[in-house]
Amino acid sequence: MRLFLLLAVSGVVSLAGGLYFQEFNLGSSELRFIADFGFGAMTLLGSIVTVVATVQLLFGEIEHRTILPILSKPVRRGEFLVGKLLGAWLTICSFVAILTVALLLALFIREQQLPELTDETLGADHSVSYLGVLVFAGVQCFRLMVLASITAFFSGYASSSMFAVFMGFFVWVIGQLRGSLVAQWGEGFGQSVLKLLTLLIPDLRVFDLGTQVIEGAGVAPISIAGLVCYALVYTVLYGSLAALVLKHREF
Amino acid sequence: MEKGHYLRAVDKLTLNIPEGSVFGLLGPNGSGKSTTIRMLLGLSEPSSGGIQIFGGSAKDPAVRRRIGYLPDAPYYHKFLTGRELLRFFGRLLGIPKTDLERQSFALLSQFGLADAIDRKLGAYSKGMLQRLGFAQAMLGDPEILILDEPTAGVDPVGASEVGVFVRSLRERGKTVLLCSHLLTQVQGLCDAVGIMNRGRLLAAGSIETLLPGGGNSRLAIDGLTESDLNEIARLAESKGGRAFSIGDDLEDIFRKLVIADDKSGGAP
Repeated sequence: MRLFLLLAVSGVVSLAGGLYFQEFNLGSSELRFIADFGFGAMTLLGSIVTVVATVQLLFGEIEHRTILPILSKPVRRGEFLVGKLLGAWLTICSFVAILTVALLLALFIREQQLPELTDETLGADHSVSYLGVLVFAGVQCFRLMVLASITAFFSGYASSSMFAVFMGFFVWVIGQLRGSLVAQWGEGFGQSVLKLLTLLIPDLRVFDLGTQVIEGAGVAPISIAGLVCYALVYTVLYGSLAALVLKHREF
Repeated sequence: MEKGHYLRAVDKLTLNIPEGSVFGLLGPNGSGKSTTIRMLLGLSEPSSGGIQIFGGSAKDPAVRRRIGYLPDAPYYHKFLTGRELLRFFGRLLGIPKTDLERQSFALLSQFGLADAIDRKLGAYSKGMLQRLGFAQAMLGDPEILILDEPTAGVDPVGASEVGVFVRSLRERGKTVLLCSHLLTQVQGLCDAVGIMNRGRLLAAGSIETLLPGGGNSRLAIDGLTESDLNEIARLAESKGGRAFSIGDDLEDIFRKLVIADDKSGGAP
């Protein structure tokens, strides 16, 4: 809870600070810079909250043995896991919602100030789609749900919280790099087998809709539905593996 | 498996606990008592052999609904209050809301926690947490109570109260499996005991069966004069025995003093 609040406050403060970071504008319009900043905070801090909250919620119960009186009641281990994953996801969605509101406020405030500025200080296109921000936030919730499910799998298996946290972040980094790594590999039987194996790890970069939504180009509903399905497949896969590991775990 | 060596966690235990009895499971640390209890609750699975409770598997939630479990330490969420903890466990048991509120308050009052009902568990003393553990174990009025070290970390007065509570369970026809290190208490409470060591059940049966003379080979005498006591001592010696004063032990004195002080309301 403390970490959640700390990161939420950090995110909101960063966004508020972003309003005044005009000198760091790297060629984009200010609004785009603020949106980029907000999306980055949502992704990075959201991932930290996801890994830590999932480990805390699931492995914390095992570590502190509070799971013993719970599982002695008529609760199946699968039900316990689903409850924990839903709890983690609710935490994640709350966190993303806080940052989204902060980002929308920051964009709105700056947009109101823009007409007062001279044309030289503005980029050619300074508009940002508010709907796009909401779409981005919604998609991040699904991306982080995948990460929570993977972290739950390692939490069910782990014998220390450090291991579960480390593996959660490790898979997050690999998931971010997977797409570009696979693209660099050549052709051949060995590479094909490796590419097939990489399917076990979700490509988390596919959820990066930043540029598309910032520019207001819009994302086709079918693409969003595809991303949701992609997230659900990996969530169910790793959730099932976590349930299997937890089922055979001795307490 | 630990550091490349296989550890034996219980071995060839065969145990039969009759319905409506208080059964004491005794044994030194590491003898497999807690592992046995966890297998009974479906928290661990035997690699061979089986466990049946009410003719069903411990893995079956319907069977576990009929079991109350007091863990060997208060493994509860410290950020909850006493009322919230019972509400949480009651919901896991599927107790209807109104019934749950009534039951929770009654149980917390029964175990002397009515004043601390809305206090966070982090502020509870060890004894209070143990009493709260009893309250959560009794939620849903289970038919079987599994009490793992119910007197661990509890002062002698609290231990005595545990004894009273277990007796009341027996009177209500509950089946109790009690795991304890206080052998004198177990002796007075249990209908039958099982003594474990290294995963094997060394002996099991009623106290009368296990102890020569039904556990009454010692005799306490009260209300006689000094000369009468000397005469009895001489008689005992002539019969090849020995008569000596045993008096109260430290536990008895401590318990008597504290109870007397409680009754007097702390007056000097």
